[in-house]
Order: sequence, then structure tokens, then C-alpha cells
Amino acid sequence: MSNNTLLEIKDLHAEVEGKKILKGINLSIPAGSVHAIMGPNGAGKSTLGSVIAGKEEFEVTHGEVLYKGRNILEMDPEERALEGVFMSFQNPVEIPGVSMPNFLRTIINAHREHRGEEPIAPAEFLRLMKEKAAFLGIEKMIRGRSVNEGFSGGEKKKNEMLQMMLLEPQFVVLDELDSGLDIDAIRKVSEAVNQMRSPDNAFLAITHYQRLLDYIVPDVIHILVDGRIVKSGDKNLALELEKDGYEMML
Amino acid sequence: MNRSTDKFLTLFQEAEAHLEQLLPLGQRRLKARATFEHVGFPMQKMEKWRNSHLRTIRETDWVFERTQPAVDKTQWPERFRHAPVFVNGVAESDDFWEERTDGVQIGSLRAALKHTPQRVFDHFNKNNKEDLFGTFALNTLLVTDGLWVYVPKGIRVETPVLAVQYSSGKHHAVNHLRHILVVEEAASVDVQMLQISTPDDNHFIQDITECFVADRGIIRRHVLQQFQGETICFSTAFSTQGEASEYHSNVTTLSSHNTRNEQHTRFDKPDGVARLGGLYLAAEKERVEHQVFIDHAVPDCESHEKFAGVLSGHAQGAFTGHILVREDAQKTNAFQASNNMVLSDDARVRSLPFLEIYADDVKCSHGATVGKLDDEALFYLRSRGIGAEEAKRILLTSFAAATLEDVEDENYKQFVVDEIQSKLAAVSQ
Ligand SMILES: Nc1ncnc2c1ncn2[C@@H]1O[C@H](COP(=O)(O)OP(=O)(O)O)[C@@H](O)[C@H]1O
Ligand SMILES: [Mg+2]
Repeated sequence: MSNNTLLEIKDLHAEVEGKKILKGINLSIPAGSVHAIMGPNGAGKSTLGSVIAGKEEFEVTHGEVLYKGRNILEMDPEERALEGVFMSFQNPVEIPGVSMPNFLRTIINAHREHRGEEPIAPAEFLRLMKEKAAFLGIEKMIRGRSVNEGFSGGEKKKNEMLQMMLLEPQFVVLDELDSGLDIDAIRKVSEAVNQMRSPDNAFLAITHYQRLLDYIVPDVIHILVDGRIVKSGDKNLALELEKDGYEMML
Repeated sequence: MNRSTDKFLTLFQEAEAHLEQLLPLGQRRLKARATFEHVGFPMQKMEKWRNSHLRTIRETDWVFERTQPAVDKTQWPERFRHAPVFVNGVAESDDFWEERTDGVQIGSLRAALKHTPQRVFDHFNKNNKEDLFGTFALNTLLVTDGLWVYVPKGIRVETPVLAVQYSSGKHHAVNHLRHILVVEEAASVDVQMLQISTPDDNHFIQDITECFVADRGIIRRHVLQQFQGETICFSTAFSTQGEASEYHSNVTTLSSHNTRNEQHTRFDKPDGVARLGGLYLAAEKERVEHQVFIDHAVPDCESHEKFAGVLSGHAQGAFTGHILVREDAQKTNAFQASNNMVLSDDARVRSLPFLEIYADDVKCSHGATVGKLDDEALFYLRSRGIGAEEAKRILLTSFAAATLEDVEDENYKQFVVDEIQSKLAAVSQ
């Protein structure tokens, strides 16, 4: 592993309810890069994201996921998050009764506490929340609402981006960021990602369609079919795929 | 005659002189004795007592004793430390009485009986249903004191009236209290009561609150229960409502041993609104139950019930919600929800909606849920850096706080949410 590698996945096998889903994934993602994973429905893309984020129902039967050289499979999801791993969910869950501002302040303060910092000052928090929410165009709707409750598909994805912007993670999984979004919304969330790109962080963009990759331009594209990466290449691979479909990969 | 009936009659006979000396009710007690003898103490097999735990009451030799232990406030929330206290059924201060220049009266029932006997007897037992259950007649039989609040026409009492119902003692004593809240036309009051017992307490408490809401009046009643030890508490409120009046009741049970909360509401004139909420957190072997009966006797009224329970360990909870819409009560709106979160395999909860509707133009809905913590939501919070225990606490608190949505006093609401949160910190570990 080069000392620039941020996330490295070695021969990862995972299953759920006894069903084998990931069948030996190898990936090396250096800081400063965007990798994309494309593949048909049911290939195991979300499973890969969930395993990285630490969802317990997926059982890793073999392999490692090294983040900054540490095997994060041994860490709780919250610990991974505090160390800088973030997943933007394909279907963010609604949490009635937990207000957006309270939730955002709680997660910001969890990260500050982890870094040994004081809780954020209320005025500073409000300023920050407003600024980022205004950028995404969801300023009005997060006030007085519960987390994701009654949000449209697009608003949910923007809310994921809002949290990403506030937490400034180092490794981000974007699971189908574009699903259910119109072109303006895709532009907006892509802008949020592109603004954050830096030599210190990296992104893994999971997508079914190549459309998103016009906006978030990847350095490497991997094709995932039936739990295995069957092909990797540069961004032109997406165009090939667009033309010929996944069948040619099988 | 069942064993409990017999026992309490004997107890009354022995204590009668003492009871009358504390609170002279005269003929009213004797009439209640006859009713009690006739109706009898409730039996387990009765429809609305099936979920209650009556064995301990049946098997214990209850005593009447007037003890006034030193009040230990160390376990009390700060909010109530300066409030008037009823200690084992009797006001701590012999002279708990305040009559304001605007006519508002706040004091003990004992004091009210001295200062304004006519008004007391205009209301005493007027809402109580002595012949429905033996417990209600028993209350008249054994009552010693309670809170008296009277608000004259047009007066809005701005600061909440606080009181504490405290019980402490290990001799299986009975404490029976009667609280009476009266608001006249277009008057309003907010009463907040802490019901608390000490860890060594094993009393049988029965408090009845009679609420009288005149036309366009508002009563807001809040109860926070924090029973420790082996306290048995049957806590009942009866309310009747005038035209365009509001009655709000919210009962939050933080801890209990064996608690039965009961609410009977009747609309006597149109356009009344009743909002009833209850939440219990029950752990270990705690038993909590809510019994609600709403009598839509006239048209154009609305009732909202929002009850919830969070159960863990071997706890048992129950909700029985009876809505009666009489033939004339057209345009009734009645909504009922009972939502429960069960955190362990051994906890049990029952929800029994009971709708009895004789009018045809009615909007009525009821829903009951029993669920566990949402794993997806839990993972979402954790994936943002929130620790597992805190994530559980956040989800449980937000679930529980839903029952407080209708509470108007923001201070009280925040206070209770904080209490819930610290209680849940223990449960979610
Ligand atoms: N919680 C689960 N329980 C059972 N099967 C699951 C679960 N999650 C995913 N799967 C199965 O695993 C396979 C891969 O799913 P997923 O990773 O969501 O695919 P993708 O994101 O590539 O569409 C599918 O066959 C799906 O049905
Ligand atoms: Mg997926």
C-alpha cells in the first residue's frame, strides 16, 4: 500500500442472512481521488458501502478494510464516523421527533468532543447551519422539521450533503447520490462534493447510471457485478458501459 | 362480600373518628360506606380491572395511621422543592390556605372546608362516580385531605399551581386524597403535581381529582409520578366540561411499582375540547396502566388521546381507551393513539380500544402500536458519530416526548423531557 492510500479493501467477502453478496473485493483508494463503482441492481454496491460504514447485519466472512492503515471492521460505526468515514445513504431513514437543528448540533458536537474541542457556540452553529443549508437550498425546510421526515427524495439527498459539509469527513461513500434527483438537484449535490474535494480526502461514488459521473468526475471506475469487481478503468469506461450495457461485462 | 371489601369496612370502622376529626364529611362518609358495601372493592375478573394487579391489595392488612415523617426532598426534582406538600394524605402545613384579592383560592381541602364549606360541598363528589367502582366510594370513606383550587369567573391564573403528593412509610398504610379544581366561566388554571414516594414506602394511595370546567374555562392538569419502593397508587381524575371549554391532562410516570391511572371526561355542553396524554417508563417489574373513559354526551366536541409506554425488563403496561359517543353527540371528533416501545422479550403491553358509538356523523379514530427501537434509525445516528447508548436515548426520548406535544407550559415540558431523558439514560444501557 502506498503511503498515500486512504482506504484499502483486501479480498472482502460479506454475506447477509447466509447469502454471499461480496465475493472478494479488492480496492485501493488514494487520498485526493474519486473512485466510482458502477453495476447492475443487486450487484452488492450498497452492501459494500454498508460494510464500510459498519452496518452490523452484514457479516464479513473474510478480508479487511483498512482506513489510514487501521482495520475499521473492528470499530463501531460511531467510531468510524468520528475517525472521518461518512456514508451518504441511498435511502436516508426518517426519524420522527428528532428535530433537524438538534440532530445537526448533536453530531457536530460528537465530532468536536472526539477532537477534544468545546461544544460549538449556539450562534456559530446557527450561522454554519444556515450557510450550508442555504447553499443547498434547504434552509427553510430544515427548521422545525424532524430528521428526513416528510422530505422529498431530493431533499433527503441534500440533507445528506448538508451533514457531510458540516462534518467534513475524510472518506465519503456516496450511495446512489443521484437516484430520484432532477438535473438541477444533481448539479447542486455534485457541487457540494466537488467543493469538498481536496488532496486529503477521497470519495467512493456508487451509481447505477453514468449521468452522475458527468458532474462528479471520477479518477477510476470499477464495475461491480455479482459481488466482484470485473473491470476497472478511467472515466471512459462509463461511456463504454452506457453504449454496451452491463451484459458485455459478464 | 369479597375479602377486600370486608377489610376496608373494618378499617373504616376503626378509623372513622380519626378521619372525621381530620376532615368532617359526616353523612357523606356513611352514604359512601353503604355504596361501598353494595358495589364492593373491584375484582380481578371485572372488565376494566383485568389488567390491574389487585392481589397485593387483597392480601395485605392495611392500616390507617396518621404519621407525619420528616419530608426527605433529596430525590425531588428542583422544580417542586418549594411547593406545598401533602404528606401521607394530609397537607404538611396545618394552615395551607391562600385567598387572593381576585377571589382565587388555593389551599388544602381541610382548610377549604373551614373557609368555604358551602362551595366545597357544592363540588365534592359531584363528579366522582361512587357507584361505578368500589374504589371511588372507598375514597370518600377514607379521604383525609387534598388540594383545593378555585378560580372565579374571568380570572386567568398566570403562574402554574404546584403541589406535591408525598408518601413514605412501611406499615402498609392507606393514603386517600381528594383534589378539587374548579374554574368558573372563562377562567383558567394550570396545576402541576408531583406524586412521589420514598424507596421504603409500601402505602396504598388513592387520589381522586375532581375537575369542573365551566363555559369557556380551561384546566390544564399535569402529573409527574415518581414512585419508588412498593407504593401502590390508583390515581383518578374526573372532569366535566362546559361550553367551548378545554381540559388538558398529562400524566407522566417516570417510575412506579403498581400504578393505575384513570381519567373520566364528560362533555356537558358543545364545543368542548379535551386533550389527554400519558407516558410511562416502566422497567424491571413495574406495572402501569391507563384507563380512559370519554363521554361525548353532547354534539360538537373533540377529544384527543395520546398515550405511550416504554417498557423494559419484566414490566407490564396496559391502556384501555373507552370512547362513548351518545346518540345526540353529532359532529364528534375523537382521536385515540396508544404507542408502545417494548425493549425486552419479557415486557408485556396491552392496548384495548373500546369504541361505543351511537351517533352517525362522527369522526373517530384509534390506533395502537407496539414496536421496538428502529434499527435503521439507530444505525443512521451511529453512522454520524453518535454513540450507541446516546443514539438509543435520543430515539426513546423523541418517542416519549410525543405525548407532551400538547403541553402548553414550555418550562414544564422541557423539565419533563429532561427528567425522561435522564431516566432513559439508565434504561437504554
Ligand atoms: N438486509 C438484507 N437482507 C437480505 N438480503 C439483502 C439485504 N440487503 C441486501 N440484500 C441482498 O443483497 C444483494 C445486494 O444488494 P445491494 O447491495 O443492495 O445491491 P445494489 O446496491 O448493488 O443494488 C441483493 O440481492 C439484495 O437482495
Ligand atoms: Mg444500492
